[in-house]
Amino acid sequence: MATIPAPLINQKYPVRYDGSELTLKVHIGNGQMSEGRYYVRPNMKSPDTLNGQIESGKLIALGKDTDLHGQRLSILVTVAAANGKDTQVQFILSGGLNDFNFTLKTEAGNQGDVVVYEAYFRFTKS
Amino acid sequence: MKKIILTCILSGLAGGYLLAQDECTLELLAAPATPAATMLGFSPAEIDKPRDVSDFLVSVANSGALSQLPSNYAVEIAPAWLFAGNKISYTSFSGNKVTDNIWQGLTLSAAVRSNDIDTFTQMAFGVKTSLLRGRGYSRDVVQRLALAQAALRDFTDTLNYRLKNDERYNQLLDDGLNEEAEAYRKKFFNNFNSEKTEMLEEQLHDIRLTRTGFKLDLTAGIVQDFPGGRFEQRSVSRAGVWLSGGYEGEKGISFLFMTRYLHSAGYLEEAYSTFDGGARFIYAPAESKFTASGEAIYRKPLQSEALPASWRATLNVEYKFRPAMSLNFSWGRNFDGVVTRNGNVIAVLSVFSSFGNKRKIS
Repeated sequence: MATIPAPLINQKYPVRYDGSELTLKVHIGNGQMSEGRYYVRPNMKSPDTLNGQIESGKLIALGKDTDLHGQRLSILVTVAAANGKDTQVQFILSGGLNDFNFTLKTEAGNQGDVVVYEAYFRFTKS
Repeated sequence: MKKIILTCILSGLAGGYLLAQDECTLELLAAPATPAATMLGFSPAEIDKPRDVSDFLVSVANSGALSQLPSNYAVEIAPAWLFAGNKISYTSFSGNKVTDNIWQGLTLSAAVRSNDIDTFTQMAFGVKTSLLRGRGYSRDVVQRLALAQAALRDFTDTLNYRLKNDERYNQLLDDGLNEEAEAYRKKFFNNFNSEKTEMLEEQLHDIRLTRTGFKLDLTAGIVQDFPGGRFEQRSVSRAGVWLSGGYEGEKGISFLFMTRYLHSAGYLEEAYSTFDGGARFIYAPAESKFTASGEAIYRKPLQSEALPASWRATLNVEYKFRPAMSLNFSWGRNFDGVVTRNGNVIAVLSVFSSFGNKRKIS
């Protein structure tokens, strides 16, 4: 079995800093088996301020932008190619200055391969 | 994937589809049992087995003179998979909710059949959807999926821990050095190995996620004739709607039934409507390249002054000799009064070639 990294998403996510609620939704498509984790923390040495599991299509409330400002959201999704080789994951981050809505698609080499999707967002003031 | 498919289609239509298959290494596909092909009569059987949905599928059928360019083509798309595949989760796909079945099982097809001798061309359009697609997977598959899911969960937790605590990697991410971070993670994944990866491979590498239980499909189609190959002389010659379903067992044995209403506008004779009812038995062992089936259909005209009641019975044998090519032999008796054939004997040897992608859940 091969582990295939999908293209990396790593960018800043400007927030309004007015108490707006930030939310995350991840769609894991093509009927593929998957697992997902997320966590939020200011830096590597700090403990998580938030973490949990990702379920496809389920909205995750991350909290107020005033609390999240300066922290980084890390998302890890693993997709096992059991239903064909095509995999795709859509990331929707809302509540900031602009919504982030992006779909990544990666084809597995063989059935049974795992495609690893990673997305990192640093919450910054606009 | 779409670029590869387009390349294959172009190569295939140019007559080089054997070569195209080698180059494109596409996956196994079923014979063209699309509704449009059924309406034009070049589908190997009238009663379709509920089958895997492909995002995009092109089928080419060659009957009789196998050295000639094929004259029968069918194209099928599945809108849900082609345009909204990102919204189809594993949970919704594995379930049997009717709304999910209808949307995910929806296919639109078109087919062309042409006869060079009298330049008679027919086009057909079809739509098909699944109302019921089986109660679930076989016990063996369910067990393997559960083991694979557990292995993937452990794999993900291990990976998450390793990535989370990798100082160098996190520093690159925090500094926004994305190119360096990409290069670093590529090396990381080359060296990353979890004991769960073997378990995942073992459970998933050859799994065939075939559903068992009761399945039900609703299909409709329409045929347009172009006599003399003239577009302005087009006319709708046939339209129909049918319900097909049946039970698919774990050992590759399926019992199917079909009821169909068909209206023929009458290109050479009076317009008439018929009601068809039939059954089909299929034996398709999972590991075998052979599929054998037999079907019988009774046709009753709905107007008393129309054609007499008739029937069709065929035996079909299919051999998949390449991943996307099959040799089909059909033998039997066709309906009386079928104007596109001489007599009512069916003895057809056909080669079907298909291009597209496929998932192993049906």
